Amino acid sequence: MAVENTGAPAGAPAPQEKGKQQAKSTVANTPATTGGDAAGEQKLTPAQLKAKAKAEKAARRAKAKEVKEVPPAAAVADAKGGKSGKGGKQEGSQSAGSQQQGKSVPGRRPSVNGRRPSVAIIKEDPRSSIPECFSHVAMAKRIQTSQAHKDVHPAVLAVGQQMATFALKDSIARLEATLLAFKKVIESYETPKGNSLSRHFVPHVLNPQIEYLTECRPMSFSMGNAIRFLKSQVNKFDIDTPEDEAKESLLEFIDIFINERITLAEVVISKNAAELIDEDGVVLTYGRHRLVEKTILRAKANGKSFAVSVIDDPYDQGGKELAKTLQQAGIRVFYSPNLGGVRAHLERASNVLLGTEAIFANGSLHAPAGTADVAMAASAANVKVVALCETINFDRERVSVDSLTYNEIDPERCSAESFRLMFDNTHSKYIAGVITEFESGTDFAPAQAILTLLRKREDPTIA
Amino acid sequence: MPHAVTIATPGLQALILCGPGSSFPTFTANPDENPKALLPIANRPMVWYPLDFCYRAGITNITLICPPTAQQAIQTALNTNPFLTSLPYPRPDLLAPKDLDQNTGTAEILRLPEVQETVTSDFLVLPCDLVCELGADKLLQAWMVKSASLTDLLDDKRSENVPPKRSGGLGVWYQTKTATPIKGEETDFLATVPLPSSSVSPPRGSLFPNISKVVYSTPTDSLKDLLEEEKGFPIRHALLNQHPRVRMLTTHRDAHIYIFPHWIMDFVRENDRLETIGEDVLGWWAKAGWQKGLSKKLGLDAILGQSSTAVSNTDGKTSPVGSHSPKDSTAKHPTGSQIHDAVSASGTTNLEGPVRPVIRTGDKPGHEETESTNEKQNDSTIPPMLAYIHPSSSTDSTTSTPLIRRVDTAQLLLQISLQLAKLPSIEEVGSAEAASPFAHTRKVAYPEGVKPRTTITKQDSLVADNVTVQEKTSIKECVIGANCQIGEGAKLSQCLLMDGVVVGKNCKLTKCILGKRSEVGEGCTLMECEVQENLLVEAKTETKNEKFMSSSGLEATEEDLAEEDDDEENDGNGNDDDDEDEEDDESAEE
Repeated sequence: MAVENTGAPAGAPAPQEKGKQQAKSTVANTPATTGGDAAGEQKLTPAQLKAKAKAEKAARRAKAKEVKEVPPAAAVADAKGGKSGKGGKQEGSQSAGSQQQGKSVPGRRPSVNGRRPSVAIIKEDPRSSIPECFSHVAMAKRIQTSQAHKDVHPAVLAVGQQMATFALKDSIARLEATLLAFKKVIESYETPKGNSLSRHFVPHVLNPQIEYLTECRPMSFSMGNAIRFLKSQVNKFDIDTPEDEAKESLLEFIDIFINERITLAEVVISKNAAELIDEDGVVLTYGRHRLVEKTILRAKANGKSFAVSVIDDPYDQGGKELAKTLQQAGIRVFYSPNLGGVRAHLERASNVLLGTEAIFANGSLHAPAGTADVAMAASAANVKVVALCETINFDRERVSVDSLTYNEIDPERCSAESFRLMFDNTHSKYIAGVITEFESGTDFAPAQAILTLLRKREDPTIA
Repeated sequence: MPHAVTIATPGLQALILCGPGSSFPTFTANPDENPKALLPIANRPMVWYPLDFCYRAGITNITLICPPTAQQAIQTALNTNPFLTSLPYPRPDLLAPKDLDQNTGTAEILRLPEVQETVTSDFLVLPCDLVCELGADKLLQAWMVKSASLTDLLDDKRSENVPPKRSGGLGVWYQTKTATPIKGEETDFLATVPLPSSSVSPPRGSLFPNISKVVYSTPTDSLKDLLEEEKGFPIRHALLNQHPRVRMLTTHRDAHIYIFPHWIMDFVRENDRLETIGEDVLGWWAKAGWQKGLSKKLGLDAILGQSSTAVSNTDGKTSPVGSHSPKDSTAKHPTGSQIHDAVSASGTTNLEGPVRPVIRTGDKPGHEETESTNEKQNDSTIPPMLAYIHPSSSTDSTTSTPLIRRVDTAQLLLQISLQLAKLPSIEEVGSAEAASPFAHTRKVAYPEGVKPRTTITKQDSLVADNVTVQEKTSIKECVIGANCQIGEGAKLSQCLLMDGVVVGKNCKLTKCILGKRSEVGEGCTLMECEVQENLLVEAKTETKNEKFMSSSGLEATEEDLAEEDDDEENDGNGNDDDDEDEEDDESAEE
């Protein structure tokens, strides 16, 4: 994430204000436009008029530049912006099209160049209120479809919007939708003449999609991993590989990938984790996670009788839905809307199942905010804590010991006074173990052994 | 020069229906040569607005649909009108199906073979008279997130979802009771239910809080007929059993912006009794969501690719399923007097806002549970038709709530034009990004044509290109089309002048709409009049609230003329004095 100059957006209103005054004074200086007394204006020679118009135009442009702060992504965008920056050639004629073109500001993102945004009001960057020392923390930008690069595929557009609005929220759901959307991209891809898929597809087709998705919401760890796999798969193609063959093989690769890393992984993990649930025990969980839900339902289907205690995240009441679903399945549910009584709930719990968003290389969990509290309280109460996670969510390179290094700010809850982080970091010492799709039986791997686990996978592309 | 659209295309195509404009008797008397779609709203042809609406969201696959008789006129305008030619590439296609005439219903249009062939993806249907400031991208976002199904969009063929979840639709309704009510504006009756609650809070600036699911939709006219026939508003038990919280809106109007999934084309093709989109397609679709057995009769089950046996037929405990054909509306059970009252009251004019009867069925919890499971099954079988209910704008904050309006009467044409004229021009705002999408470059496009010693209130007026304004004129709150000539000493207030209008000396026009190339003779005083295109209003006419049309209007004015000849002389003199006074005021201010 690029470090943003937070000072600048905060100062943005000031130049804008100044700009308005400038505009007013320009109007005042050119009474010709007021139609009131054009007499003074008529004395100017055409040459003078032309010079004047030029000056006005320059002033307007400078002002527009000031108003529109260069977004953080501009550094990347600028490189590409060169070719589409030919917008502002002419202006002053009455046609609507030319005025739109004329106002385009050099240095803006190429994707929006030449068109006005659909909404007139310039939105203030919500990040501007966040102190600079937190500027590295990512936040969903939630860009509109009209701000997307023109090569973004419609399916990706829709997926991006669902991610941006958190309709697709957890890491695996986002990964799955992304991969399926990429399948559509690949299906509709045609290599231009004189190019080869292995050289052209990634930089010109895949990257704009990824860029857009990232601007909707920062990518999840799993998406990063999967995209790396996909790209390395494209790079494996010989330059002479026929397009059809390459596309076919990519589609097949994605299908297998989804099947192995998501569908089967879910089955294996829930099967293994279900065996951990004790007969007549109480399973405690935090929030709602797909794997935890599947596990509990599977244990129930296996004929076990047990109760579930759901501790909910007050900011994201997914636990409520989980409680409803479980109750409909005939499971006894205790529901607590927040972390308030977690210690009391832990007293009757026989074990704790936690869903995670990702696992770092040092074994710490990256999970919805509040997970760490539950894990710590549970380990203090000597209750076994088990985390469930697909291996695609594992991060091999990054380590994290605090919640501030890698996190995401909740875009709905961020103001000048405070902001909410969406995730927290649970140290591996609070976790008894992690269940992944590679472990069989109840002999699950301790969190510290993640790297070994990945090596066991013997996948050279990860290392 | 126009340029190509440089933003992502959302994969939808747009159909813009260019209708006859039957509510503009004065200006569309000949809809083939002067189609409604080309009437100017704030100096831009009407059809520019929906086109721009599409381009702003990156929708470039646009098809204009018009009757063959009007094709020539629209094609010419597309090729020559400066506003239409300056729209970005690619250009819209113009489709004139051979069986389409000026009276074909909107759903019938979708059924025409040419249109069936044209629509190949999910699509938007727009009217040509739509002025919508709200970005289509926001609506698309709402549709993509709340209504579209990823199974459809991503072609997810895995067996996980059986039956597959299909995409739904989205429509837009707006409040007609605004700060400046317009007489005779049409309304539509709409009943909605809230969407199932989600744990995720809606993002700021999105439309999600105003989205609900349509369960009943009909124009107010049809509702009135029904009320008369049934002596009340019949509501089925099935609706109330499934949706305890129904919200009914009577003063809103359907904006006719529909985002439809592609399967709607099959639905329309299979049911040839569907005549209009707003009443029939939406109405039956919405009903199929809660009325058991209806989806099967409409062929929806087959269209949506579901095996009809899997659909809710097994749980028909809650309400008896009548065996009616879709068009049969007799076997309805009137319920709860409060609804009856609320709705019959709405039929009259004294309604102030949306009626929200909250009806609770008050059943035992056990019963409710089966209800909710029923609802779930129904939700999953029939994709939802959602409604975005545009919040009404408060008194003076046109900037805070974007404008959505259908312009289909002369009064609306005048009102909306004047409202758009109030938008600050790009020149005033400073940059195109900050200005409204409907802002013009300059308020007075051709200042050289304006003589000194004239008053033009620039904050609420719009003067197009090549307009000449003589001395001592006063133009207040007006929209003046290209090539107009305003004579010396004329006073115009709250007027709409289309292209090439000639206003004679010392005319006094208030709240008038003057058609293309019409001419108003010297010294006329007109109040709230409409003048048909190419018509000459004799000098010194003095009248109020009249429609000048080629056949009947003219004689009447001549009679008036004879009677009130003397008065006008005096009036003309008075005008001059007034003018001079105002001039003085103006100069004092400066």
